[in-house]
Amino acid sequence: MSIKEWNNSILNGIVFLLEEFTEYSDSNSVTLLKNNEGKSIYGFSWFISENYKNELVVRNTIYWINYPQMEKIVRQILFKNDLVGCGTIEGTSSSFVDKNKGKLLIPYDVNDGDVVNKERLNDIILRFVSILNVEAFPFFEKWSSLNTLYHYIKDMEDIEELEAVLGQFWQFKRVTIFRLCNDDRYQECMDSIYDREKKYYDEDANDIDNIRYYHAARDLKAVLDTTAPVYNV
Amino acid sequence: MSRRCQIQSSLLYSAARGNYFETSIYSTSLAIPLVGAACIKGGAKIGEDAAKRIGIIATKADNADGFVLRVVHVGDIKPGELQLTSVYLGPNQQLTKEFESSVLADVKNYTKKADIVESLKHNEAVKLLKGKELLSYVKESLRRSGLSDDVLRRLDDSKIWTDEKLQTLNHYLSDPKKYGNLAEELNNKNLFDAVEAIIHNPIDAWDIIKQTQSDEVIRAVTERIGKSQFFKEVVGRGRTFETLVTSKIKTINPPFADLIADGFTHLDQIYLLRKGGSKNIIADDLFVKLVKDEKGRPYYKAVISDSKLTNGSPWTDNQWSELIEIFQNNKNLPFIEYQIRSIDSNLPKNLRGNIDIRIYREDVYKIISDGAGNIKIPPIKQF
Repeated sequence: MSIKEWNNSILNGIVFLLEEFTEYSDSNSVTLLKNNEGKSIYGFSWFISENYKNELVVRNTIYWINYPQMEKIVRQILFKNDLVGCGTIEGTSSSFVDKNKGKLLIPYDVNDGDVVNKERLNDIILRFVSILNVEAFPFFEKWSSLNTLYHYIKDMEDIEELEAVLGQFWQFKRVTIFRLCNDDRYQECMDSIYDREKKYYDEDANDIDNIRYYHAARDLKAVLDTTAPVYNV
Repeated sequence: MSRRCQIQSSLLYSAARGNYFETSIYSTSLAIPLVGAACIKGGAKIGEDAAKRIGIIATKADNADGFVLRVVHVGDIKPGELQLTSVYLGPNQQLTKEFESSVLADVKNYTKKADIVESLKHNEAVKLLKGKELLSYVKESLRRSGLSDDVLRRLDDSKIWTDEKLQTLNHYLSDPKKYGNLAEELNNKNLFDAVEAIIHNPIDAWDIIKQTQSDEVIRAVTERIGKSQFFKEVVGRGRTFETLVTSKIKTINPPFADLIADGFTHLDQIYLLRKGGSKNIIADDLFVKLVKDEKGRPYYKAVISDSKLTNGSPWTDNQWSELIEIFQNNKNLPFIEYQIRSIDSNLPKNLRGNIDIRIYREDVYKIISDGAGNIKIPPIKQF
């Protein structure tokens, strides 16, 4: 059987749990997304590749939450200013990374993948069902809106910690969350980002990163200053 | 070493290319003195088999410093005989006879190797095998295997299907023992695309297939590797070695085990688009870590490794133009920026969303095979 056929077999075994999800498949992977009334997008995906023993291996089972209210603002500005690319499907990236990694998840590393064949298919489907029931669905419920993430990060001061949760553009994300979740510190935080990037830009307006970051900070400030909070109003 | 100028000493290489002249050019290490009078024996051992791969060979004469030229099946060449040419004539007996008599007549007056090689280049029978004659011969073979004229029309594009490439296709078709029933594979358009790409650049066929950037072609080939003799023979080795490296690379030190210890994440088969570029490259193995620049801004630093069957295996066109050539032509360029273009489902959670990465000049590696399919240590640092 081909990789696509194995993916379909796995999908058929778990589809009863995923009726409200939309499937996006490609040659070796399956992505399932559910839009939670515009507040969040729930995601689950995996892929299959061949290892050097010619075995097909299921890899990288991941569930995640994407918050379109935040992502639409931040990603568009980052993309416009050449700091990230533009994905093809909305919601396939995770808005944050939580510390608690699922114990049942199949890792990315090909050596830690789960070999799929006729004999193993049922076990893999059972593992997927467990991942969804025991880990993914409770996770979706817990983090269903941006406000949950806000409460999780609002008192974090440690840069490393914020970076671990929100990723490379944690400052842009945090200030957007502050704005959308009506945190009093929004203006001070936004102005501080803008002033710092403007200072670097004024020092060297030819440096490509100074240009990108300054313009992104300027654009973000322009958008957020005129955006009304959504939560905790 | 120049990417495109690969010096190969193997006779097999020449045969695989289906090229008339390379064998003699590449056989300089064989110690047969090509001086003195030539004694010609024509018409030797032309059999009736379907695959008529024949070669002009030189054997040292028994009684002098000279040599004997003969036309034989390549498979019949004995140790100590020097193969000067190889030609793939298929079952066309007329072409075989014409080739035989014409070539032998042309070279009989020459006593020096260089003269013989030059003579073969201008030989009429060799020319006969080119252009329309060869095209119609290849088409007829494929038609007999059930390919429609509609499918075969693609071979009419002489810009893509040059004489040399038609010869290579003919070579693959003429050796079913080694390559199986290739004609059957060509009934699938994606596989025909794949074969066309491989013939365009036969040295690292799996890299070439990946470079087509076509999911359909990659999938079609991947699914045939285990089943088709042709794809197993031509593509399989490169792909197997690549997956072996991916499986073991985290244990190779320096530098990869150290990178893992330092917090880098190992990814494999990652599509990268250079910022400002238009052609993707595929990183066989990529190590990525979020670090900070001098202003405290986080960026992703990446170390790239490509698996090649030999140190002489060429970079693909895209690897060359989007990575190697850029560093080679600009000695002061510290890094190149790329965007990860793999779809999110093929990436860990923290590296999703088409992030940008930097590959520094000193972070470009190549891992080669030891010839027996094992990983040769240490990895080769490119710059």
